[in-house]
Amino acid sequence: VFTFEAPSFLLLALLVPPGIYLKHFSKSRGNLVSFPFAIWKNVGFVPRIHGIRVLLFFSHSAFWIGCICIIIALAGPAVFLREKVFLTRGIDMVLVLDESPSMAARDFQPVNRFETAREVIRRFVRNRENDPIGLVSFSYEAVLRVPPTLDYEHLIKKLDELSIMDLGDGTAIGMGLSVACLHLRSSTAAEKVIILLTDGKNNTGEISPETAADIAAQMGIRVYTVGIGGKDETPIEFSDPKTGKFYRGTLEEGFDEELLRKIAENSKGNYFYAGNPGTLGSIFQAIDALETIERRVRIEVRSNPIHGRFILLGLLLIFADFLIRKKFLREVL
Amino acid sequence: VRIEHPEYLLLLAFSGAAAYIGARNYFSGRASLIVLTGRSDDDNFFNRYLVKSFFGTLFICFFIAFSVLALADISWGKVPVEEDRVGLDIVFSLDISRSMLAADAEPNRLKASTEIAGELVRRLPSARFGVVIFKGAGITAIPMTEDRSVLESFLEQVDPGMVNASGTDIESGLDAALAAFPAGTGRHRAIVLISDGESRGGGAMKNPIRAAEEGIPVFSIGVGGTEGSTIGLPGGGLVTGTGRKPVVTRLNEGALKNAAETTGGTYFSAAEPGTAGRVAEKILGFEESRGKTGFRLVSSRRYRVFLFAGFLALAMHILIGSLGWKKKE
Repeated sequence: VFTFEAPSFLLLALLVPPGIYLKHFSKSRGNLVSFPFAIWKNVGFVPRIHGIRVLLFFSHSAFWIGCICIIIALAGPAVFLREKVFLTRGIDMVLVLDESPSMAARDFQPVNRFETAREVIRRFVRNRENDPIGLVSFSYEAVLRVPPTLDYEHLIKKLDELSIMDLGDGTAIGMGLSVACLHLRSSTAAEKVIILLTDGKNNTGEISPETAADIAAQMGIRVYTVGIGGKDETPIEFSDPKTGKFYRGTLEEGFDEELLRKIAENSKGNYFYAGNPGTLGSIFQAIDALETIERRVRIEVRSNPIHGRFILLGLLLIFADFLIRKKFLREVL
Repeated sequence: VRIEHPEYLLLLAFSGAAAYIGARNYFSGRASLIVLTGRSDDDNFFNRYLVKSFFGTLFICFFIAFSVLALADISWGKVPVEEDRVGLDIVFSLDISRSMLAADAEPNRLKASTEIAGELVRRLPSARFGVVIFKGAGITAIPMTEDRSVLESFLEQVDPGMVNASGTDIESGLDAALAAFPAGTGRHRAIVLISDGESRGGGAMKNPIRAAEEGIPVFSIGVGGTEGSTIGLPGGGLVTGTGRKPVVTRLNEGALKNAAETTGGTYFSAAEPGTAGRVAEKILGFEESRGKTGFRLVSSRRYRVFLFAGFLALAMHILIGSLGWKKKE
């Protein structure tokens, strides 16, 4: 929104029309001087060249536009920015995402399960406000990629950098969950949530998923579990980021529905099954709708002054006019 | 008195140019008038021409000079701006350039820096922290978070290899730090800049001014000694420059002090014992005083004083040029 901090200065613009009259139209103006014609043997002048008159017109226009710029700058032009400031604490969330090779299964079009999950998470994050969100990824190992933060740009950047097989081959659901719990430990949020996405059975890691779920429940963290993947055999394609080797095959095994249901129930969360990309999208919408918290917001207004541009423009225009008239046209009066 | 945009002062040259053009124009105009009007050189008419030319040019020069001063945004005095914030967000801007491996701090500058940062995290239990690391460019390493375990483990493993761009640029470190505060959080904000200050580039720094405008103080900590030290490589040996001579690096406090002063922060030397404690005390003091008064002081913009003077000079210029020649000739 564009406003003026001291609009009364705009009244100075009323001086511009009298100024133009005085400078260019008044009969007794200073750039007229009378002298006897006789010394020119009554011949008079050759009419002025058209081009010069046009140049002079532009030069005078530049001068007066410059004056108006200066008057506008005096009035303190500013752009007001509204910023939403949250007065309440949001919900702390950690997304736990499976990056095991099976996530490359092509039953989720257009690319695979992993890309679909990534896209859905991206949309989910952009929809949230004021809720610190973190990211843990796991396959053979589990790693914290981003701690719970409101810096969503950073989160999405890190999400985009993930790649399948980065953490080896395997599905360490228990490790993924416990890393998420660890990083919610120092959270002061009243509500804490983990969203676990996996398409496989737990087959590695020092901490079992049940133990991790108990830890979460004890810490008062709700765990939403999302099992992804169709139940039939699916083709799978991916390349190992470390060796660049390309793999292709068929995936036969799905996720452990019973386990995911148990983890969710233990921690008062919910279990969801995403058999296709559409359901995955709506599951995240459902979680988005479930996880709401009362918010108090203050609107802060900040003004961003922009008088500098007007001063600079006015200064350059007026100087250009002076230069053209006095230097190039060699105006005498 | 502070000049926010000193670079515009170069435009004062326009004022000199206008004076020169005006003077030349007077002499050529006078010659033309003698030819045109057929008056003699000592006619009173030419005295008036001199007066009009002189003052006309003088006022246009004044106009240019005052406008340039307005443009340079000279400010003095402080005005309060309401600031209703609760809580504290701190971004560490950590220099990880190779000169930070110099061993003139115990065990080296980088380790000494991360120890101070870790100590600060422990001493400010209610704050949230973020970490940006910089060399020739800055990146967010840890976004603003309450999660202390990630901070601690990151500070333990920070290493010059984490950023590719070579060199040191404190400006880019501050740039990344300013970008690391999430919007709309309503918390007090502060930057802790830790560096040996060896910065290439130089010239006026813009980001401290930006930080000051947003009310974010920079508490800068200089690590290393001013007497100079060679830089040890992790695998043994020294960093060498031209002619295989070992590179010597020394603490350069200039940019660090400047950033602190401009933003209302404080400069600390890591060489003195108990630095982390003193920094924590200052930051808590800052948070408390802001929280109590509910406002912060910003420098008062005075451009209008200069611009109005310029406007008056412009009006005088128009009047002098436009007023008639007194007597009808």
